[in-house]
Amino acid sequence: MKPIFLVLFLISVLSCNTMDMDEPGNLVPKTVDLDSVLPSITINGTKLHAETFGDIHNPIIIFIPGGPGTDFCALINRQGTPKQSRYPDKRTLHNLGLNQLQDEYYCVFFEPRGAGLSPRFDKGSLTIQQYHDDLNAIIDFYLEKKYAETGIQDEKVYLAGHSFGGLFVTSFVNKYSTRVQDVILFEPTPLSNEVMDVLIQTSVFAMLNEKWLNEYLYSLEHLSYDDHCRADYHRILGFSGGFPELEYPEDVPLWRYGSFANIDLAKGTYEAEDYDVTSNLSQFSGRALFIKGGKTRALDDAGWNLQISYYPNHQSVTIPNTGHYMLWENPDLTVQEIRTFLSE
Amino acid sequence: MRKIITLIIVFVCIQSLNAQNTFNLDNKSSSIYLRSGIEPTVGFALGYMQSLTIQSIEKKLVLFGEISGPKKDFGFNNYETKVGGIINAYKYKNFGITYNLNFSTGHVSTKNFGSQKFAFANKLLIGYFKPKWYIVFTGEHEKIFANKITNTQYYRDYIYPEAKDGWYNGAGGNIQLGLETGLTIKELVDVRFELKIPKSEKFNSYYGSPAHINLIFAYRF
Repeated sequence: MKPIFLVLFLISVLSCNTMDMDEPGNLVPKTVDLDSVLPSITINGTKLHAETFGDIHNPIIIFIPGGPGTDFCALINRQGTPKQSRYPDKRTLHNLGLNQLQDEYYCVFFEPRGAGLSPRFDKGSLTIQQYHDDLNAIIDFYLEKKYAETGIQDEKVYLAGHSFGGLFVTSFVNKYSTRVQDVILFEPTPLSNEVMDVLIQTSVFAMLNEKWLNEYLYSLEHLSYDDHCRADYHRILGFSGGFPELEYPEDVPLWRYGSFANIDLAKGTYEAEDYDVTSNLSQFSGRALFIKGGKTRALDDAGWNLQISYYPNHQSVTIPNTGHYMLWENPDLTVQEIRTFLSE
Repeated sequence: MRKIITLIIVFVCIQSLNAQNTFNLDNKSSSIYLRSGIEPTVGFALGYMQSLTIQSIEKKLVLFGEISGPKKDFGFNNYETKVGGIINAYKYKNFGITYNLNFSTGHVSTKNFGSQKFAFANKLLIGYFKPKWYIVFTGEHEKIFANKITNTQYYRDYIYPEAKDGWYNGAGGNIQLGLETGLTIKELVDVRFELKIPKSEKFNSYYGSPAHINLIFAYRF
């Protein structure tokens, strides 16, 4: 019986001195609802993580990160420099990423509900329609703010989205085309099942000997997905390795990968049988700039041309020697392409 | 020579603890087994079982110990050890129920963190046992009661600088429901197969392989 007493003793000792894996702040950061120092806006009764750069007299660009579930950390950082704090006052370097555009534009970066440092929501509670409602309210919020502070009454904004953010932007434009001036899409997730069908992605079975996949799977013996923090903590293990054709660098920075937002929004969009967010894009009078990493192999030329063709008025540029995170690997050239596009 | 070849085959494959041995160990008191499969990644295990009879309750008790790990990067950073006991809870003709209680500890090392876990598991097998073969339904619940987490420098640099190292509770657990079948292929050698559907302990998705499969060779002596 001695081993049993030893185990019981171990349990009692540990129960007095352990931290809770599900408590935000221990293994993954607190979100804006729990951390008042983070910059935020309140939209539709929910606090969202949002940060702005530049003069509100200028045209507004709203940037949306990918995932679904990730944050805008990589969008305001750059490869080769230390990752900057999520707290604006603690940053030592500025103007590193897409926020370089702040000299000509009022740049808004935000994370949708459930994603990044925006609040966590239970699995099964997030939908793309909620995301649309929030984005409509965010557009209203900043247009009204602009009018209140400057007297300038803009009707439209620019939208920019990376990866799933590009899908989100397109699905929004597909429904609310009159609210958007132009769009900038950084390698958006396939916009329809037609493109999903030609997506080039290594099968998980072909990756069974990959280090990242073994770490991802074997660590499931150590925690389960029944709560937010441990799910977020674990899911990051699959962040960079799961899609080798996207050529993710190892060191893409991140604040939080919202696991349940990732699951819900994937299910509600590109995993759906009738998935297509392009059916009404012919009504969109604005232009679309597609930006591609030169090393990305997820779509061949035919697939990429199909993807961009959904927008009647489109342009496509490639950032050489970069992958899916071209905006972080070479923000200078990416910003230059955006400036050229928007100035035309 | 035949025994050596049998042992090599066993070592090339993998493990599982297995209540069937409480029946098959009637005439032999010890068994080693080797299991290979996907649970939760491609891996293997090696185990030893010792059969005892508890005179006071006239039941057979099998004590076991095993070590398992992933095929890739198996070692001190990625392994699991398990010790426990299996008892024939009920037997009527060919129908039987066995209960397995075990304690495990193991380590995983990832790009973001290292974790040493401590867990208990209960496993119930209900089914039909013949002398040369068996088929059972299995149900297993593993509860993780403590993890010692160490975050890597990579995780601090690129994701969360303030991540706290130390002892954690609340990692949850998992449930596996499945089928197991086995056959005696030689006088002292059994081969077994198990298929299990993993879920979190709250019956949420496991977010790993949708099914776990194992092939097991056991040698009695």
